[in-house]
Amino acid sequence: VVSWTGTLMASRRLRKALAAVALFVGTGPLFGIPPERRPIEAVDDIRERLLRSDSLSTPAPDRSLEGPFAQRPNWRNFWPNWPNWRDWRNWPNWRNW
Amino acid sequence: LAELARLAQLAELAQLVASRAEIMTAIAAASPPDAAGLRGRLRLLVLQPTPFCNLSCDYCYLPQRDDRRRMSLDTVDAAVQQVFDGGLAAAQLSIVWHAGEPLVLPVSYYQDAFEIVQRRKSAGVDITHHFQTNATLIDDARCAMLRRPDVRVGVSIDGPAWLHDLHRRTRHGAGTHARVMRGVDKLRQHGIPFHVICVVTEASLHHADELFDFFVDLQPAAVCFNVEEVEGIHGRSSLAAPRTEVLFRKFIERVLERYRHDPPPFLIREVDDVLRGLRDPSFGTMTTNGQNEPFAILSVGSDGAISTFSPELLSIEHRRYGSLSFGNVHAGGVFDVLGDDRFRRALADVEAGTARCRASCEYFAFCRGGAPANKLAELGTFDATETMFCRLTQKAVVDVVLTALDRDLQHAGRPAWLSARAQPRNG
Repeated sequence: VVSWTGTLMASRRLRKALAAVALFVGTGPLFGIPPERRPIEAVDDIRERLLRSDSLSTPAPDRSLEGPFAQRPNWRNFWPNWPNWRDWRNWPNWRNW
Repeated sequence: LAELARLAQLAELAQLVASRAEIMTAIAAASPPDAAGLRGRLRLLVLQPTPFCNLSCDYCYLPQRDDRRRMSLDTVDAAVQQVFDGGLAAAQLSIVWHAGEPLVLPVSYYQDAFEIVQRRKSAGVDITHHFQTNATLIDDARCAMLRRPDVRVGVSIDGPAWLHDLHRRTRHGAGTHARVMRGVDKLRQHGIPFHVICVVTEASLHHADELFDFFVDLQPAAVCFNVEEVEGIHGRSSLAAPRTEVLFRKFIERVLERYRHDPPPFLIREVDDVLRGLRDPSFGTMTTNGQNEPFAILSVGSDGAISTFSPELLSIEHRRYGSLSFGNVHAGGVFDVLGDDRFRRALADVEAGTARCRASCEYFAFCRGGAPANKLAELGTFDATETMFCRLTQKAVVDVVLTALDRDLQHAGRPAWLSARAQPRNG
């Protein structure tokens, strides 16, 4: 009888354990485990990320070298772009314009 | 028994009648482009200077590689004239000297041929000559020709000697690796960049690392892994067994792993093709590739025979379609092909096969309908969908590259292997 009960208990535990595993696996997505997807199903998402990565890695054009007066302050829009005019270091250096 | 035999004959006859009806319907349904519709369509002109090859590789698809005939300069002239006078050529035209070993012919032949092309070419067309060679005949004189800025060179080499010599042999069965490497050394001495075509057989699948290391040492501009195809007279591929598909995936995975972790200074065409496809603004909207679009590729045999679609179809006689040479530059010319019944029937089936690929395959955006030559060789018709060639070179490769992209693009920062490089397109 002892042996039989033991076996039964063990069997129940086994069943419980199995039920727990099944529950965990079955509700996997709720725990943040995504179901495995075939890569081709995600092609649009992957492509979008690739294009975003491409655009981020393209260096911004260096506009400081555009035009003959690019390095100099432009007097026509000088004041709005010059918030701290009291600081003399922000004044254009007229000796090397 | 005699009665049964007669019944069988009748059944066969009925089948023939049905297929004949199908053929006529298909021909009627085909919509061949008119001459005006072909303007600027030709991007690849394959000229077969000779069907002869000095090697006898056991996976070769060419049926006449013992034939020592050469394309006469008149034939070169006629082909080139018809292409340019008819306005067929696209702004960028590649002329590939192949379908036999091109360097069997002397340098003087190509000097004359290049002159003819230069004389005939239309203004505004940019021409590049391509040589796909086994490199065994490369010497200083040939290097002087290959150094021209409008010439690109591809070398066929299957990896280290013990892999290469398994299949790429002379007619006497001797290995050719040492001679190929001498040719490659000549190219290096003359500073001529080259790409490599490596045929992947069942034996290569277990040696991705050895192959990768070999190509790192060889320093080509690009490596193209061609699978051993069922094509032409090569009716059986060592990759045809079902288990090899899994092995091929592992092979590509390993190659890509090496490529990602320590990017070498060469491109891998298979990886580059997937990236190029994804980056193309028209990704997912294009419905044909070069091979299933008539006259995007034009192949001219050494005798002037004309074929289109896949270049491998030149000089093929098929039980369903007959000869796949649809015309001759000396008889009627390129535009007469449009009225040829065999061409119209082939076109109808190629279009039907492409449409079925489009309707049924989620990888269509990448391959855009596959290769007619492989459909014909593996499935006996152009009106077919999936081939072994598709499963390996498209599905497996796309899956492996997408998986790697999926993983690498999750992290901040840009993986080094995605950086743009020089992109030779002659593999």
